[in-house]
Amino acid sequence: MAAASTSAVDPAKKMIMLTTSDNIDIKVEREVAERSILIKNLLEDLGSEGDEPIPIPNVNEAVMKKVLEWCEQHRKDPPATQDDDSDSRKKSTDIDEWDQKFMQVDQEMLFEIILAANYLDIKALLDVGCKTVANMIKGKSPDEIRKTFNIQNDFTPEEEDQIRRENEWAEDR
Amino acid sequence: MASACDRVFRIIELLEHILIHLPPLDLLLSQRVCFQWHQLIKASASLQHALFLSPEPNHPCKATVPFPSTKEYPRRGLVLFEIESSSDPRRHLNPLLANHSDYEFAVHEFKNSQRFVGNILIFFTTRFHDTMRLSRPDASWRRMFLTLPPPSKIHIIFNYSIGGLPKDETRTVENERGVSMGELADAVWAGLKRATSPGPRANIWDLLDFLDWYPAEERAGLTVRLR
Repeated sequence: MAAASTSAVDPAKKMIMLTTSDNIDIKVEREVAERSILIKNLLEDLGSEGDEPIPIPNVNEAVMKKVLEWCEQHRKDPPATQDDDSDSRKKSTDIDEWDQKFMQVDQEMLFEIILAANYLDIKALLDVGCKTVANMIKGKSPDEIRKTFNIQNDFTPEEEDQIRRENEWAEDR
Repeated sequence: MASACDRVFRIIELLEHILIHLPPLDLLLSQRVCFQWHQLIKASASLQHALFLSPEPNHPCKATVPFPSTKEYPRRGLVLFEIESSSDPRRHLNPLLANHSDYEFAVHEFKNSQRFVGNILIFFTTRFHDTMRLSRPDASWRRMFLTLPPPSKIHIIFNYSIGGLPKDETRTVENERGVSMGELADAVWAGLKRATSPGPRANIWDLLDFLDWYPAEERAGLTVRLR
């Protein structure tokens, strides 16, 4: 233990710099930032120094801060394995309590987080975001769903009626 | 600039990732939201699978359970099924059908039933065929599977009486890809027509008799909605 505490800083605790789309530099611990597979790969490709700020041209400061808040909370989570996929489907829409609170943001921010998680390749955050949206869809009629997300109904009346009739048997129970 | 919501929904993979978390009924009904959602749900292999509309590609259907004696079944115009894949631990019942229960058509799964080897029971009465919303040829349930992995073989047992004498008849529906509910219903309907003509049709009273026939603990999960 004592041998390790030379002048070198624990590489996980080393600070790195990210530059957001609106040109703001954000300092963050390497371990936290590496929840993003994109940033992790970039750091590996750049070599171990990581002194240069890393440009993140698709994510602005407000969203980046929010994403890093999530990364900080989940910094010690074990990496996801491939066979988690089928499991997560069964568990469907249950979300852990901290994540639920974290996702209580306005709708624009929620979808910004999803876009950022997708771009930064943070699978667990992407899952939480998508489950949160699924929860907003659950139990709503098609019309309520359109209103919630401002979606244009682009069916002809005949097309919509056809789909309605195909699935009528499952409704009104 | 388009809203973040628009941008997310425009990325097919993200929309699919959201929809896969929906319960089957919500997924089925969300096809009506807009053209893009409808097209995606129709085209996506994982969403089709979530709706019991396509089998798992790598799991062939297996026939394993022996056909039980017809003596164990109740009398009169009801139709029972044994499904030969019940020993497969991965098999699960289509929740869209399992929760469906009304006069015409109901599905019930018996957990640990000693009476039924196959432990899934569906019944139709002939009223089933008179109800347009169920019987229309384009109804989506017809393309669904009862379970996943889907059964490759379903035995149908008809119980009816001719001139007061009880009579049993069995039919088997087979499809290597998995028997769809439409194929099953057509076989039932053809059998019922034979079994009940020209005599009286099976009706709601048969269904009620049938419910009484089961010990209370076995029908606990079965609900009948009265209109």
